[in-house]
Amino acid sequence: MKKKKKTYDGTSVNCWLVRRPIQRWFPLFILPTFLCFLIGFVWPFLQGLYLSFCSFNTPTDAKWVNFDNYIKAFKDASFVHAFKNTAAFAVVSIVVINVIAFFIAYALTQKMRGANLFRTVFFMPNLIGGVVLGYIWSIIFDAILKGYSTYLTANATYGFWGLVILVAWQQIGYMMIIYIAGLQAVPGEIIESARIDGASGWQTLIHITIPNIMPSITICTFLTLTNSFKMFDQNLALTGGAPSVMMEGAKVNMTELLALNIYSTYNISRNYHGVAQAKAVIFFLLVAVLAIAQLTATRSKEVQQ
Amino acid sequence: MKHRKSEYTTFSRILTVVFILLCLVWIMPIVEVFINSLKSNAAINLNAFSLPDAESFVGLDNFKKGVTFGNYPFFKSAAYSVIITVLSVTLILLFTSMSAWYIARVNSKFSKFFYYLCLFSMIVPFQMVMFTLTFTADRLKLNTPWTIPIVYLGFGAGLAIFMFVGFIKGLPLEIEEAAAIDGCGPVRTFFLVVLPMLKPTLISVGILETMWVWNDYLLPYLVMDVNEYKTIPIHIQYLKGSYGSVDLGASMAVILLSIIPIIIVYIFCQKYIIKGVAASAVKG
Amino acid sequence: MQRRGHLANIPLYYEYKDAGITVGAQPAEITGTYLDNFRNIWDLYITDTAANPTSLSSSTGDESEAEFGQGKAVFYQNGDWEFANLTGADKGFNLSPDDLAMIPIYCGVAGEEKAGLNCGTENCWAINAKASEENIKASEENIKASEDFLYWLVTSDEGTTMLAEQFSGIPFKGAKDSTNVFGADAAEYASAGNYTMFWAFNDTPNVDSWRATVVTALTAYSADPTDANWDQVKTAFVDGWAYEYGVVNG
Repeated sequence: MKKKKKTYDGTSVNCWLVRRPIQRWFPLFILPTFLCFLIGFVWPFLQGLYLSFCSFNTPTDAKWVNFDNYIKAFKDASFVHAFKNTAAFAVVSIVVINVIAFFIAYALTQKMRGANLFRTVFFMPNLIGGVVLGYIWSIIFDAILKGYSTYLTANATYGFWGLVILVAWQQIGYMMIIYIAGLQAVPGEIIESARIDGASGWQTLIHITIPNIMPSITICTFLTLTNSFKMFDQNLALTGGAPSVMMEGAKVNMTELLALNIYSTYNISRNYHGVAQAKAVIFFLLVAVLAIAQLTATRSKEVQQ
Repeated sequence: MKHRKSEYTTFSRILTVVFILLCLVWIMPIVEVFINSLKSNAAINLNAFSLPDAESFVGLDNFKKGVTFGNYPFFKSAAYSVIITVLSVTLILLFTSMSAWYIARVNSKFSKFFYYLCLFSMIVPFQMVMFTLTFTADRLKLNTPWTIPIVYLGFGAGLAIFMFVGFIKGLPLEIEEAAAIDGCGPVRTFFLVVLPMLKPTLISVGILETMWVWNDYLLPYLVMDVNEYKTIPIHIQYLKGSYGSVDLGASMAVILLSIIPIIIVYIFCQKYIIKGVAASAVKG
Repeated sequence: MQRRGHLANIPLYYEYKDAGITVGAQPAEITGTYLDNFRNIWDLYITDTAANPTSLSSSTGDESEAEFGQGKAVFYQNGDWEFANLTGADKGFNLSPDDLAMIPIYCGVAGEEKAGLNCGTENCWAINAKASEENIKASEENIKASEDFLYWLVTSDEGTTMLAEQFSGIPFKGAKDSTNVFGADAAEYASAGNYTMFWAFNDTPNVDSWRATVVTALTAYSADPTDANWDQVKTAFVDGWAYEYGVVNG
C-alpha cells in the first residue's frame, strides 16, 4: 500500500478536521485584518495611482490630466537631482555599512572577550528614531564644522556625508547582527579543513567563509538598498534638504533624497499635488524594480548547503 | 561563546582593547546629548563637546524648561506615543497572527490572493500611499491616537503576516489535528494550542513593529491634528524647527528623556531584541 | 549672521515703493533694482564685524547679541523686543536705556534721509474656502473675535497700557509712552513723517522657500565675496521669485 507523504498545506490535510472549521471562522480570523489592510493600504494605493493622473487639491476636485504630472515630474530638476543624490547615497551606504558591519561581525565571532557587550553597544543606535538621530547629529556636525568656520547646511557635500555617517552609525549594528548569525551558521569543519589544507586566514575568508554566508549578504544588501532609497526621517531631520539653489530655472534642495523631494513637492503648492503623487508612483516602481532585481541577482549566487 | 583562558591569544586581547575603544566612540553621540543637557545654552553654543564646569552647569534647569517647552508638555507627547504604540502592536500581533494561521491552513484562492497582496505591500514605500492615506483617515475619523492603530494594522499587516505564515507552515499539524479531534473549535485551537507555539515569532514581530511605530514620524504627523496630538518624534521635530532661536539646552534635555526609556528597555530585553532581529532577517 | 534672510526686506521694499505696490499685491516678478544697495549694506555687515570674518557663517543670533551687549559691536540687527534682554540682568548686559537707540538701515538709496524703521510681521488669518459651511462660519466668528480683541488692545486704556509696559509693540496712533526706547524711536520716526519700511515679505510667494535660496547664496558670498558669487545672489533673488510665483500660481 503506497503511503501518501504528508505535506503540510491546507488541501491534503484532513479537510473536514482542520480546514473547514477554520474557514467558517473567516469573519474573525480574516475580516478585521483584511478590512484594515484595505483601508490602510490597498485603497490608498489604488487611489494614489488614480490621482497621479489628475490635478487635485483633495480627491473631490480631481481633474484627469493624462500624463501631464509624469512629464512634469521627469522634467523637474529637483527630482532628477534627488534621484542622483539617492543613487549615490545608496551605493556609498551599501558599501560602507556592509563592509564595516561584516568586519565587526567577523571580529566578534573570533575568540574574544566581551563580544556580547560589544554587540549590545553596536546595535543600540538602531533603536533610536530617525528624527531624533537627525537632530543629535546635526548638532554634532554643526559643532565640529564650527571649528572650520562653517556649518552643516552651508554645503551639499557636508550634508551628504553627514547623512552617510549618521545612517552608517544607525544601521551597522543591525547588519552586524545578521552577519553574526550567518557566520555562526558556517560549519566549523569547513573552516578547519581549509586550515588543514594550508589556506591562509585571508584565503579562507574570501573563498570559504564569504560564499557560505551569501544568504546574509543577500539580506543585508537588500535591506541597506531599500532603506537607503526609502530614507526620509533622517534626511528631514539632519538637513531638511538645505542648502537650496536655483538650478536650470528650478529651485533644488541640494541634500534632498527622493522621499523628501516627494514630500516637499506636495507641500510647495496645491498645484503640485498631482506631480507629487506621480513622483511617488515613479518612486514605488523604482524601489520595486531595485528590490526584485537585487534579490534575484544575489539569490542566484547563494551556495547550496 | 566562552573559551578557555589559554585560547585567548595576544591577538584576541588586542582585539578586545580595540573594540573597547570603538565602543566608547560609538556611544559618544549619546554621551554628548547627556553632557549638553546639563550645560547652559551659551556654553553649548560655544563648544558642544566640553564637559560642564562650575560656570556652565545648570543642573536640572534644562529638563524643567524642556518638558514644558513650546506650549506642549513633553509628557503628553510621550503618553500619546505609548498609547499609539501599545494599541497598534497589540492589534497587529493579535489579528495578523490569526490571519496568518488562516492563510497557512486554508489553501483557498482568497488565501493566496491575500498572501501575495501582503508580499506586494512590503515593497511599497510609504510615500506612495501617504497623501491618499491622509484623505482616507480623515474621512473615517482615524485621526486620533485611539483610532490611528487601525491604520498601523493596515499598513503593517503585510510584513507581519508574511513572517507568521512562514513560521506557522513549519508547525506540526498533528497537534492541531489532535485538538480538533478532542473537540476544540478553531478559536480554542488557535488561542490555546497555536498561539503558545508562536511565541518566538510573536516576540520578533512585536519588536520590529514596536520599533517602527514608536519611532514613526510621518504617519501621525500627516494624519492627526498636530496641535492636539503630538507624538515624541513630532515633538522633537517641532523643537528643531521653531521660529527664532532654539533653546539648545532644553532640546538636549528632551532628547535625552526620549532616549532613556528606549535604552532602559533595551538593557533589559536586549537578548530578545537581538534574537528577534536575527530571526526576522532569516525569514526574510 | 542672517540665516533667515530678513535683511532682504530692504531691496524688496524699495522696489515695491517704486512700483507703488502696497501690502496685498503679489508681483509676478521682481527686477532686483536695489540689489547693489543690498550689496552695500551686506558688505558692511561682513567686513566691519566684531566677530572673526571667517567664522561669520557659523555664528548665531545669540553671539551677535552678546557682542553688542558686551560693547564689542556698535550696531547689530534685531528688533525692539530685544530691549528687555539688553537692559535686563538675565543675560548680564545691564545696558542703560540712554545708551541705546534704533536707527534705520541705510544702504545708499536716494531720499534715505526720510527713511524710518522696518516694521511688520508675516502673520495672517486664513479660512479654507473648501471647508464645510459650518466650519467657515465658525472660523469667521473666530476671526471677528480676534479682530475685536486687537481693537480693544489698541484703543482701551488697559490694552494700550499693557502694550506699552509689558510688550514692546509696533508704534501706532494713541500708543502710550513706553520705557522701551526702541518703541519710542519708532514712534519718533513715524511722527516726523519718515516712511516706514513695511514688511514686503508678506507678498512673497513661498516666502520661506524663496528666502532659503537667497540665504544659501548670501552665505556663499560671505565666505568668498566675489562678483560671481553676488551674481548667484541676484539669480536667487530674481529668478527664484519668478520660479516661486510660477509654483504658487500655477
